[in-house]
Amino acid sequence: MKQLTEPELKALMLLSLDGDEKAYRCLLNMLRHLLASYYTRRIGQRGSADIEDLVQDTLMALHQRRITYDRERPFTAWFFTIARHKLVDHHRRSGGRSYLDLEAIADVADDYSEDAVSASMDVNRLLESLPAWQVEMIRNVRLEGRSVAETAASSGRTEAVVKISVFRGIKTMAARMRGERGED
Amino acid sequence: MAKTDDMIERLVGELKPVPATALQRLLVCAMLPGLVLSAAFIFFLHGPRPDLTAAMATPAFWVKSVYPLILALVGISGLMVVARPGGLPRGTCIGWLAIYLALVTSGLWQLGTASDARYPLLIFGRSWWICPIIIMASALPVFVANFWFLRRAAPTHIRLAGFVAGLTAGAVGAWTYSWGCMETGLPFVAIWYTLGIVLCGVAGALCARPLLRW
Repeated sequence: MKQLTEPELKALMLLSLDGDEKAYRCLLNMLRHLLASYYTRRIGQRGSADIEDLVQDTLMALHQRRITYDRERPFTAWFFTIARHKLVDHHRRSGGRSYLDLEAIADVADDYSEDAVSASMDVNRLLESLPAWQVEMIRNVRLEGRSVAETAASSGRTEAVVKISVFRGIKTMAARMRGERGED
Repeated sequence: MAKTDDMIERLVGELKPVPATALQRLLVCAMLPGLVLSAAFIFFLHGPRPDLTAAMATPAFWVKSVYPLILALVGISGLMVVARPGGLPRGTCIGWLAIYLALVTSGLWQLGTASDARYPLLIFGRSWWICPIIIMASALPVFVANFWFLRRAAPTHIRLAGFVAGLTAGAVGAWTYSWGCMETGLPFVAIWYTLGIVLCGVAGALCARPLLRW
């Protein structure tokens, strides 16, 4: 199944809030699978009955408390805060042994935390403003962690050109970001 | 998995549109009756202060009345924050502290300009021991209203949400009481009003676990 991204899920949520049943059914079905993998990653396969309960509980909470979704803010951040709340509650109910896990939950790098979602959106938006070849180099060197030598070889440019392009590209992005902040 | 399918169908069947300002409206619907009951308690059971018209000409009356009112307004904005998942009302706590410090400053100024003989009147007045109790009583309807609201919202920092709900209720209760209370000392307000308000906040934090779990 195709994983929907923040803008698509948010669009479905906004339609659902306006009473669109088709969008709501689609949203709930998408979220159900996202939740199943979210909870499986954190509880493990051993608790598969718990996982279905948690999924239902969370979808029910979304339904009953959808009034608390702020249309101006990212949907996934809102939704996964609810999911995490349900997970913490689950651990609390299932007894003391899980209190140790609570620490771990807080540390799990969350793909859907609001900061992570909006940060990657920001980076992608900033990258769009640069020429394609420069974006390619920045992606290789800074985001994917390849070496300057590899990148130079694959793009057919010298290492010095790669280094300077990456450096200048990031400077341009930083300048744009300062500009955008300044406008606010 | 079939159970989840059924549930999704049921939820889709129950779907009703939600306006963008639904949460704000819910809070208003909750707090208005609470406020009316609190005002009724002060005006009909306790009675407004007999010298109300004369008192309204003095700055001390207005400071005493505006202090809990601003606390309440800041608290309402905080309630809107804690009602949403993950909401942390940092601004609310800073705002409350700033308002309190402003009151303490004006209280100290009032003490500085008064003669020593008036100190007991400005600090303890005639009603210091009953003031926090009346404030808690007049806050009770608003307290219930705020919890009714939060139970329909999605607070994830539950104890904090209870504290904000309780303190805001206390501030509303203190505001309505300011129309019935005879005291003129700002130090009195800073100590005894604040004590009543904070006790409501503590009560809110204590009620949070049983009442706000979801």
